[in-house]
Amino acid sequence: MSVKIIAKDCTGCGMCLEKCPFDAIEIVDNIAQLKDNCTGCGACARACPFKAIEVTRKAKKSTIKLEDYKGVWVFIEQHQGNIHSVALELLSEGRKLADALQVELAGVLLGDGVEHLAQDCFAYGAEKVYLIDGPVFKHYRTDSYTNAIVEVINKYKPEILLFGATNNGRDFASRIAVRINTGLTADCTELSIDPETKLLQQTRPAFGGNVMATILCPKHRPQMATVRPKVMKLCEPDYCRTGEIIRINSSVKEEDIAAKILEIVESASKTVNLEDAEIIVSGGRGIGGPQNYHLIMELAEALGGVAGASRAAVDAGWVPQYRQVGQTGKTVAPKLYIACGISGAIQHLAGMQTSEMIVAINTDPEAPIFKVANYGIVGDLHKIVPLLTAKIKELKESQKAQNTDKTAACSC
Amino acid sequence: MPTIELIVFLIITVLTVLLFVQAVSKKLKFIRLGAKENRSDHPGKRFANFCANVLGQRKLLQEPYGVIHFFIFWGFIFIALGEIPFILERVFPNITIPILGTSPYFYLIKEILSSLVFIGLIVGIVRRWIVRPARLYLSVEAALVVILIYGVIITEWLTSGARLALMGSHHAYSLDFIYNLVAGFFAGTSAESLTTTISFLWWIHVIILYSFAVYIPNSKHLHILATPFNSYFASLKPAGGQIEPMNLEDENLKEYGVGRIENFTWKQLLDSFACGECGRCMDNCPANISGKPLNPKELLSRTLKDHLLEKGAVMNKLGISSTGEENAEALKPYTTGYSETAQILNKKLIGDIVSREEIWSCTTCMACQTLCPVSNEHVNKIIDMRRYEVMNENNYAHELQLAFRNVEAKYNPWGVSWSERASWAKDLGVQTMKEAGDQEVEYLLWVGCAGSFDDRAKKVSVAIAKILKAAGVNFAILGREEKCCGDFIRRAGNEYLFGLMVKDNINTLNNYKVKKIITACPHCLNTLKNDYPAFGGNYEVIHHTQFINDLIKSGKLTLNKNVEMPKQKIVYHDSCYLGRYQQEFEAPRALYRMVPGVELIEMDRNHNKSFCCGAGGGRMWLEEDIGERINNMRVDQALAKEPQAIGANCPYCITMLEDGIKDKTDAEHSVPVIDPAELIVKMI
Amino acid sequence: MEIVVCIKQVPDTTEVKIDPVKNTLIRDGVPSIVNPFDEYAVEAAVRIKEQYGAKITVLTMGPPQATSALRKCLAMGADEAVLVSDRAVAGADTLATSYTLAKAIEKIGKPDIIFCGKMAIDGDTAQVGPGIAEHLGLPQTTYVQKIREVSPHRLVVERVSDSGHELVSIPLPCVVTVDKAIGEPRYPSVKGSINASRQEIITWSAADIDAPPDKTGLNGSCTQVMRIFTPQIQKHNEMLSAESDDALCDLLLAKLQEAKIV
Repeated sequence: MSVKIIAKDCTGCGMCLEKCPFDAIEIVDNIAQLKDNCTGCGACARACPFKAIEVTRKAKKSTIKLEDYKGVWVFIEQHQGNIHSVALELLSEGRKLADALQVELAGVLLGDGVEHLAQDCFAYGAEKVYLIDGPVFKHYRTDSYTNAIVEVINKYKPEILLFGATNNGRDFASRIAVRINTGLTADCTELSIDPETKLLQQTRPAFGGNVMATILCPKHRPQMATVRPKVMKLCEPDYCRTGEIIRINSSVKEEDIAAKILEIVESASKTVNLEDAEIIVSGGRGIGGPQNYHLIMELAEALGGVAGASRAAVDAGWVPQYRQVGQTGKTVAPKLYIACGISGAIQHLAGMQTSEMIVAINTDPEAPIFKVANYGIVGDLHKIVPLLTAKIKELKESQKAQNTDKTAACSC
Repeated sequence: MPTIELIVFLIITVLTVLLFVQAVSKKLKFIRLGAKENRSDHPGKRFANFCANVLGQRKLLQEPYGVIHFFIFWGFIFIALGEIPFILERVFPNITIPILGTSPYFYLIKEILSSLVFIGLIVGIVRRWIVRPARLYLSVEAALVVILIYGVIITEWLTSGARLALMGSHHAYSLDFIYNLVAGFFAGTSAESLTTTISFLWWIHVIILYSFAVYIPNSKHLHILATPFNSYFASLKPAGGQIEPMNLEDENLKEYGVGRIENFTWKQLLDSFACGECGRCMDNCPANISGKPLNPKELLSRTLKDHLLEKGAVMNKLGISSTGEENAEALKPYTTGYSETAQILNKKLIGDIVSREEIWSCTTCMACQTLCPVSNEHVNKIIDMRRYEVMNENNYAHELQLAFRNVEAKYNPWGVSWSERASWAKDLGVQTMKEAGDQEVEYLLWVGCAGSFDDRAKKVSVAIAKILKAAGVNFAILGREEKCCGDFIRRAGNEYLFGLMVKDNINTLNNYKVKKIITACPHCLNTLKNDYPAFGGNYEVIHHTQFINDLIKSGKLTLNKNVEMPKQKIVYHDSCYLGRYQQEFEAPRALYRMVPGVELIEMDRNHNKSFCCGAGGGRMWLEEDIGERINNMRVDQALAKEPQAIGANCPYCITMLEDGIKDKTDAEHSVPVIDPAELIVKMI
Repeated sequence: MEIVVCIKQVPDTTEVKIDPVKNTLIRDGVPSIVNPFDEYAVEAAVRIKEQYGAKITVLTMGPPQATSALRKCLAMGADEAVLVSDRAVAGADTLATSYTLAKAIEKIGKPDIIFCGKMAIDGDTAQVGPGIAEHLGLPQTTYVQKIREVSPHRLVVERVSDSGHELVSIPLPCVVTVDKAIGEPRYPSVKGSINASRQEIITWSAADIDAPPDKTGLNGSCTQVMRIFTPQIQKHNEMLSAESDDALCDLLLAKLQEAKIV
């Protein structure tokens, strides 16, 4: 283990216990002892006032030459010729990292007939694009993409390699890391370069977001991370920028690929499934009658979510049972839960309390729902909900318009 | 007696005894099919029970018409005693039977009782055939029995009266007003014709009497024979502690709960024979009254008994009597094919005989059992069948499963974050046992899941805590270390999960050396007090209303009687688990009466006949979709008294009643439900 | 068919709270549970077992207390349970973890399918499943929401993509990580739980699975935790008020945008 307690210096003060995020220290006979679940994070050492805890950072031995690895790479995820926005976010962020390290930023672009996307990569800060183009890369498949990227990594040796933490990004980043024997940090929300060691500091939430951990990959290259979409800020694209396209002839052949894609199904809208919904708008007794439930449905639709209901509204026969959220209905945990005209009986709270953000709209300022709500509005849902629906629609229209502007070509 | 008559007499006597014994032993064979259970311990206590309930007719006397049964019962005893000299004196003319044959007072008492039986039966006939409460069924059986009883009484009067007329005078009969009346009637008849009449009447009497003796063990009036035994063998445990723990460590135990009639214990089977079909249970059963398929009387006296008689007959014929797994194996060869035997053996106790809706309709309110005059134990049978469904068949409502899951993962049935358990007490300065450390803590306040997580019940918890602090009680809570007590889990049939909860809780409690517990919830109260001892948890447990009452009585808490309180009529609702289960009716009522301006009134159904709120026995977590909602019915009963508030002492009741009020009234006419602690706290 | 399901015992992260004063994790008695996504993996395996017949082995790596997680899986319908427990494997990152599990799987035998949950709720990495596949040189398919066909040599599954799903045909043996849509994990029957509580758990050390110390645990990990800190997140509990409903809506909308929900 890399954490060692120096028994003669330990006073059994217990400061380390408080700081250990994993509950992995116990005091036995006035001396701290490590339990089996110690991860060697070293939080205890910093807390110890007597320097009785020693951390030796002995990471896995490596035979590679670190200095051979140069440059920051971003995997450019595309789907049917459209760049996934996370790739552009990563280029924006990668630019900063590359600047801090004074190295190049490159995109790794795989697909079939996707060369035109290189322009977008340059606009968002890349100086180079490694282009792996061919029919075998038309759709993402673990084997083809892994094999192709591993070839490029081995040849061009990047120092940092970033992926979007999308389903595909997470699917093969891990395989790549294992194959080339390096570390991979998942789902990062913050990246920075340590000014002294020049190492990539990868910060990510753990324990359900209760703690943040900063992770290093000191002895292996490339330093790989997947990054949560929508976290990194997009920079202003500059379509006047250009760069170098390096075309790679990949050795990947169709017959080497084990898994076959039989069909791709694009779902236009997510199905009405409360449990999986990311946004839920629910109505309760306060909606006043079945004739008003459409207000809830419209707001849900405008937000791209699903409409739910409380038991009171279902029992009254206003809303069908399958929309019921609560103890005897569905248990949900969406990113956003808007409770309209729901007082917040415990049986309802039991079904939605783990939602990431709860907004409550109710006329009764004393309603218990406000206690669990992140944002509460005391008011008449019959006025507020339609107004909110209109405003959201308006906002989405303008966002769409903006997005089309951004993809415009260089004007110079 | 002429020899020929003697021979005939002996023959029919032997025949009657044989028929009687045969009928009884046939019934005994059915009862013997049941599983073993020791009900012979503490003979003293059992005999006391027997005296109170059988000889004293305790429960029957609690009802206005019960007195009729009391006299019929004692009348029968004396009539039966009177039969001894009646028969023997004719068969052996030279013998004298002490007291029964000689004491004029015996005959006086016998005749007073016989006349009361005579009159009582007329009232009984009127009640059954003319007024007829719904709980009493009309039957040919009942009619036949009445005719036989009248036959026995009248022929005995006539015969003995005629004998008195023949003898002229008889010391023993001197106070017997009826014999003397009848003798006067026969006055002037010749000795010869009197002798013939006596002989004729005597024979008629003996034939009727013997028919009665043979008829009883073959009819529903078997309860006359079965009840004394049933009362003697009745459970000695408190009503809330009669659920038997299961030995889940036993690897040979392959079937959990009762899914076959013969897996009930012999005592549970005896219940069916003891049932006199009086129907007090069904008259007070909230499930039955609200239109659900459960009818406790029907279940015991018909459904289970008929099935036992049918299946038991087949089993007895096949000579298979052991219970448990071997029995299922032994019966297997006979269960194939379409024979009648196979069809009977293939009937499933749950599904074919008792419906699932029946077993899940029970709220374990204990009304049936509390009021049952023959000491039948209804509730544990239902729980045994639930155990089979939950533990053995994994076949039960999804909502209930969710509540189980929540308890397993979060230690409370709502699935609210476990770490929030003590949040209600945040600003009250209430210490946890852990915080108390080495300090001596006298009382543990067991808050319960509702009191910890339900916003409404939390207000009661806060009130209790404030009262305890004001009275200077040295108490603490367990906080995050408290876990669901397991009441509803056990009564919903999941003994396994219950066991896990009990083990954790007892570890925690014993670890802190807890001895005295105050609970805010009558369900926790009952479980901690009556269920935990079998698992090694022995505590003195008291409900908050009882404890607060004691505090006031002992002067530890003085109330400010000058507080401005609204004038209000409060109608009080007895919770099942404090009322019927603990027989505590007075403490909460006393608290309401201490509050200035409160006029405490009663609902029609109160005390032992209180009507359940509908939440007990796991019903809190189940949807109620058959019949009327029990809570709404109770709210109707309460609102009929036009109160300004409803008094209750249990978080389940408060929730159920408040829900019912929401359904039944609009906001303007809404009536609050108040725990006494919430009023008392305003007076400190 | 032989199936291995890899599971992890995790602290119930929804019960991990931050002490508002000390700003440290309150982890006193936080219950340990089976990683919820892994329960879906067990469910997927049990459904295959019910329909086609299979022997299911659940595998985990962790401290001795992790047996309770394995028992839960046995109660759900798994046949055997293996725990890899050794000080030498503690503190592993995903690379070392997937290596250790891969070695254990090799010792278990040659399973046709290896199921994993899509990720663990305490780490949220989603890296161990693909890692095992790479260590074992097997094909993989991740984020599976439905198993359409099971044949002796192939699976046809629906894999969730960002824009819908794709139908993937994958040869056996393979590694499959499953998403929640695969089907609600069953609540173990009481009978199952009781039987599972009596069943023996096979426990292996690092030496038993032939895993050298430099490839497991902290020593086999490429990444290291430099720092752990509790973020200063305040649980917002704010009543919004404004002069008009219109302004109120704007205010709320601004909050939603701030939280990147709209």
